[in-house]
Amino acid sequence: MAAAGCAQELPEKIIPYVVQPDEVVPGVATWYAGSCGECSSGCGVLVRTREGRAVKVEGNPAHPISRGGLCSIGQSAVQGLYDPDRIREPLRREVGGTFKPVSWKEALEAIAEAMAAGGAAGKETVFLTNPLSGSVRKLVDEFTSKVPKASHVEYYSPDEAVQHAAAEQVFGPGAKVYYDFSLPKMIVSFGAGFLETWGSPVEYTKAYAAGRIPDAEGKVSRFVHVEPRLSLTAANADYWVCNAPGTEPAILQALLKLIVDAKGVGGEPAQAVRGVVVAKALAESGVSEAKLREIAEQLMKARNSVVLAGGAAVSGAHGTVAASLALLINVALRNIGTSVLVDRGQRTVPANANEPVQALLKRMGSDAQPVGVLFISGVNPQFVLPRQAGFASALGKAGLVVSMATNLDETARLANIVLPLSTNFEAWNDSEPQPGVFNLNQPSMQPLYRTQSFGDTIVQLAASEKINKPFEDIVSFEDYLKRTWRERTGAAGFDSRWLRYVEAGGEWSSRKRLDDALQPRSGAAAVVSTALQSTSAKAVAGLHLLAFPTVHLGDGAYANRPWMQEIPDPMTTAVWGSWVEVHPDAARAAGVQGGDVVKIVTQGGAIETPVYINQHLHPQVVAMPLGQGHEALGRYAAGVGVNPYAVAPLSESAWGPQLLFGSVDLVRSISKEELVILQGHDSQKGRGITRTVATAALAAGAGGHGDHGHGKGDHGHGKNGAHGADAHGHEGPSLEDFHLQHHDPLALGPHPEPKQMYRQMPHVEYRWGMSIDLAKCTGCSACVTACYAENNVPVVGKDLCSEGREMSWIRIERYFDGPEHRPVKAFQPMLCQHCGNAPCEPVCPVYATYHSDEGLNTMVYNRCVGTRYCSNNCSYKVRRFNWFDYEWAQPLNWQLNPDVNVRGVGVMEKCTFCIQRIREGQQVAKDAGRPVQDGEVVPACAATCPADAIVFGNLNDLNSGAAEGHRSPRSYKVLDAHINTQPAIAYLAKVVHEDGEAKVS
Amino acid sequence: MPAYGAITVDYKTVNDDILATLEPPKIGWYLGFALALCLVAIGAYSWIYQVMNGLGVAGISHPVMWGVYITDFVFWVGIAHSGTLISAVLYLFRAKWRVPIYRIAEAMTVFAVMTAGLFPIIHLGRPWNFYWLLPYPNQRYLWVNFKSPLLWDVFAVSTYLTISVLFFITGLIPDIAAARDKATGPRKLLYSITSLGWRGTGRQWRHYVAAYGFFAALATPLVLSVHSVVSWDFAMSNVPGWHTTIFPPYFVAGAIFSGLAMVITITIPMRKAFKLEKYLTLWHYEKMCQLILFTSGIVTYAYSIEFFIAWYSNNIFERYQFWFRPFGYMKFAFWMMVFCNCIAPLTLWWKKWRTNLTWLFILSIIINIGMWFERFNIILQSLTVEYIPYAWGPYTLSWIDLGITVGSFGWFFMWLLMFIKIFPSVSLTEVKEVVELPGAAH
Repeated sequence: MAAAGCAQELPEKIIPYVVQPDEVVPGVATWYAGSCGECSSGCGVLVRTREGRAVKVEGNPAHPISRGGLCSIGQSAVQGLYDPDRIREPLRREVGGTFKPVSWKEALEAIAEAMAAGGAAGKETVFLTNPLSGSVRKLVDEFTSKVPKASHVEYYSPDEAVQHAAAEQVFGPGAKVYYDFSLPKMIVSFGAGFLETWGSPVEYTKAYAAGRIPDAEGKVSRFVHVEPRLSLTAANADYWVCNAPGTEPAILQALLKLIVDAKGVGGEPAQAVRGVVVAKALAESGVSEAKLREIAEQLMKARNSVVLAGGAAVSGAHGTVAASLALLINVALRNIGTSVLVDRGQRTVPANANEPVQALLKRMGSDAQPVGVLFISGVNPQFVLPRQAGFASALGKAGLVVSMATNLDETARLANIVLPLSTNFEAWNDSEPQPGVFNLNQPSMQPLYRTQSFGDTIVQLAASEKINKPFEDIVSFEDYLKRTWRERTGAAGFDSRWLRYVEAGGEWSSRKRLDDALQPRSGAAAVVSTALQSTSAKAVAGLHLLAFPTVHLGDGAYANRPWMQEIPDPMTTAVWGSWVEVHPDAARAAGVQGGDVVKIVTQGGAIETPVYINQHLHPQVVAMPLGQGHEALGRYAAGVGVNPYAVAPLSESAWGPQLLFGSVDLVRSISKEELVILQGHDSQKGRGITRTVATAALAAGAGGHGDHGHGKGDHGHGKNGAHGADAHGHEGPSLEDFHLQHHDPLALGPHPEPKQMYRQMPHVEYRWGMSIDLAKCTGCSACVTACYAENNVPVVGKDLCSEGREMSWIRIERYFDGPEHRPVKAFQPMLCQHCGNAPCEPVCPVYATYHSDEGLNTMVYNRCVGTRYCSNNCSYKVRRFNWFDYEWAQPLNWQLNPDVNVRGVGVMEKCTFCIQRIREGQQVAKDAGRPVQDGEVVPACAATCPADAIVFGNLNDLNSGAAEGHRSPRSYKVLDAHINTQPAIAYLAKVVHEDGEAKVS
Repeated sequence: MPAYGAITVDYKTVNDDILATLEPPKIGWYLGFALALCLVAIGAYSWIYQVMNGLGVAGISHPVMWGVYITDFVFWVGIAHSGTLISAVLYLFRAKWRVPIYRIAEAMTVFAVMTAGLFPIIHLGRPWNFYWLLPYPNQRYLWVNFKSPLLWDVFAVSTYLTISVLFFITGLIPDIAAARDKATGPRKLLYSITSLGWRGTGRQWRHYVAAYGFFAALATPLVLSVHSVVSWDFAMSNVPGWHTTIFPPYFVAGAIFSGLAMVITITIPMRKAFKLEKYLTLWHYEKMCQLILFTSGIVTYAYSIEFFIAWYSNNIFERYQFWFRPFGYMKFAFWMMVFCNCIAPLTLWWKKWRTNLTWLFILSIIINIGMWFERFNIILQSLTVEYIPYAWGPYTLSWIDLGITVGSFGWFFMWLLMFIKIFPSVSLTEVKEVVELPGAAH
């Protein structure tokens, strides 16, 4: 990625608009509301455009699901838009096998012709897509109903399939389960990574995080996670139970049994565990009965609770059983209608949700070759299906394969015609992610290339004479979408309402309340117990492979976004590659060490990847991240890592890859591949960087704490200069003033800053600062991605990352030094602390970094000569140096924020607290003739944080959220007690139920 | 029998012997010079490559932002040190043993400072803007930060270079005049100009002696200040392992230690090649060895006191740093330093060893390696494990670092080799002052 040549390129000429569009003011951003299309959660977004180009996505604070949060993947959507490897025009496979660009007209005509010819021969037209929602689903339904022998098949991810099946098994056909995490005081998750990728993570994180700070009674929610591997979600739990792989159904049964017995619950839950002996059920699970009893008691004692089963717990052979049992536990705990919301108005899904896909493949592969035209959109079966599924060979027998994709992915490569898909930024779209929540997404910019949305393609195809124009009068998908909205919301006054919907990004006033305490359908228990009897739910000896999705790559569709490759996985801090997590015992048995490359041999094949030794793993499990191992997709994804989907066996319960399976062998390989881990050391060596505090200590310390808060407040005034603290100057400080540590350096709570030998910079109006609540932070890394997007942080690639040259301005620190059941004390975002007494400032010989009168530690790139002394002297090591001139492959550079410059070679850079946003806020305030109000300026990290862990504001304003954080009895400043840096960032210790090490002073 | 260490020759022999060093070079010199030029070429190529591509081609990276370049810088400044010590301080103290070595030591000083001065520029991210560190009125209305030790460095090193050069030139004048009187052709012209009209009149001698003493007095505090200032680059920071008050004396002692070793490294082959055994006697080497032994003792004490303070301060960061040095993954560098600087010089307690020039030559190289590693330890080990364990990270040497480092040796020896063939590398004037004429009564 490094650029050759020392001369910086001359700037392009700036050409003004000849005719300026009405809505565009150069230099002023235009925002469009929409919805995030990256996963099915349906978060609301606001797209920031500058001069007609989308440059940033923010969460929409008004949206009922995401409430302003946005995850890492959502933040990276702009890199999906500007992906340099996007397909730019329709492609058609030539005889030789190569693709040749064709016009849309030609492509659609060829498809219509094939459909007509197929129709005449009695062949099918099939749409294979991801689960669709909203108008596009309706459109596909109408199209398939009007075109003879056309059908629509949806591919569900393994977890989605299981959740569907379980919901219908327990609550009857058409049931779907949603969760509300704002209520439960006790959360027990079996493998469900609800803080990462499972379900609707932004929504869940937001509600969960709010419950993690002490309420009026000083209580916080309790969270127990059961999984054979310490996932990111497990690392957030108060108690991580490491169970033997595949034993979740047995543990869930035992848990249900304990609850049923203790509460005397009858009905389906009781029937499901009739005859279950707790001790026997737990025999091979690795979970003690005492612990499970404790969990059961806590569940029953809690005012409200929730039990989840997902991810690893449903990835094995008995996924549906586990998920059903979890729902039955919720029934027994009377959580249905409160934290567990069931909607019964959904479309029915087969018990095996992917059975239609299986059937389709079987038909395709048969010698009759009944499939004439196959459309594939929104799903990459060649990547996500196991090799055993034989997708490629079946595809070879289908007639005309049409792939609609943004990139030439593994499936599109096999297609006959590839139609370039527009992204959400370029197309109309709507969805109904939750009953009654209607998202509406408007295009925020012109399509970059000759691309179209799936909906528009169908509309245009339908206009073809060859297939008899199934719907006459629809001119575009926008038109169709508007019609569906008119039909749903009523024609009266629609046009003006429509503008409001577009402006708001949807309509959710009719959100369905799902507060019925539904009872399970009768016979639900029988299905569960039959399933359990038919298959043994016992632990299987030998090694298991657990493949898990990660916060940046999901199932792999985002792998060609450089940010998603370079921003570290928060648990391992690994970048640009796959790895296999191996328990030290298993590693010893296999004779491998960390960094060795191993061959993982499964029944479905073998893959090779480097070893990451992970103590926080069941010894019988080796774990691998999903999402890597692309052969196609683009320059950043192809050839990076390996794909566990490929070697997974086919699941019996939900047809698709089984992501937890046994009979796995590790064989040391002779090949070499580096696994790049960014975190230098896993223990904080008792330095009090990340801290936890027990609820009891908090309650005990809160009483005597008011004085400190007062002292701090006084000091805050003092630093204004106007109030005379600087008057110490003439008296001369006494020796006592320099004593930094009257108190334990690990004690929490605000304390007065010691007086300084030198005059301090007075902060007259503003003293920008931040408080970061570690009780809320889940380590999801959305802030990191947001920072890359906002601040033009370059991506440097694997080799430079391995040399420690990554450029991230904010990072998530993760230390493994908690107790065994909670190995990670907390996840900690680390960024420039904007120290009041910044060590970096005095050492710069050219004043390239200095302290501003607003409390910012300012970095003047143009002034920097690159001595790097500031970085040496930065105790937090948050300064990053431009070792090279970095490049953004065209058109990724179009995403660059015009308000932030791109730094050249040889200068230092670091977090600026998003000074461009501060200035923008100040300009607005100045125009209005008032000071900036709290919450008006929000840096990118704080804006996106799904947990609301980061609060930014003016510390001089004692009522600001940030100042309040600084006054909290849980607050502390990293290293301040040791080296008196006086950071502008206060961290709030994570609240735990026991074993918190910090005291409140 | 003359006293031990006395130089017993007549003035003519002194003239002939010393001016013989200026005769056309032999094959050995050419080989040496060619090697030096090759090394310079390697260094120049490496540096150009680095400037073209960016500093990332060097081994430095987060968190080790200063690496081999700053190690080299401190190393060469240290080498420069003993030259001034020998020429100025010992002159003021009238230590006679300095006489035959001071000229070459001074030359070493000038060339070492010229070498050292390159490194702060080489290590800049934007070396083309190096002059921004100079406080001069400019239309950009930009000024420098006098709080930064790096700025103090700019002054310390440039002052040191200026004074060393002036002092050096002053001492050379009478000798150049002597060379002029014997020279022919272009050399005559060169010496005529550079001897600045020296005729050896009484008045000139009076001024000369006054000026020489004056420069000696001016240079003396610099011996202490330059390396103290260099040590403040580290001591003024808050990096555990750098932030310590012991650094100035420790650095000055270390500098004298390494500089004396370099004098030995240079003079032993020179003495042999130029047949200067009469002037550079074992007595002189013994004196240097005593000073080496003394300064070795000081650095050894400083090393131990660092560990003591790390323990005594109860500072967890400092403690970890001083556990890391001997036992961490860079322990090789630490034990290399201990062996070279603390253990190997102990042989000099025995006369048998300190009068064995072969051993002295080997030892002087060992000491220079050890002193290079001392700076390597201080700079790199401290930066490797600082406050935040997330950000800990290793340093990996690159070919560019290595190329520039060997280039600096080439650069230094290139100047030195040129010097010894152009100007007298032993002072005629001062040697004549101390020789005992054959047959003269005591």
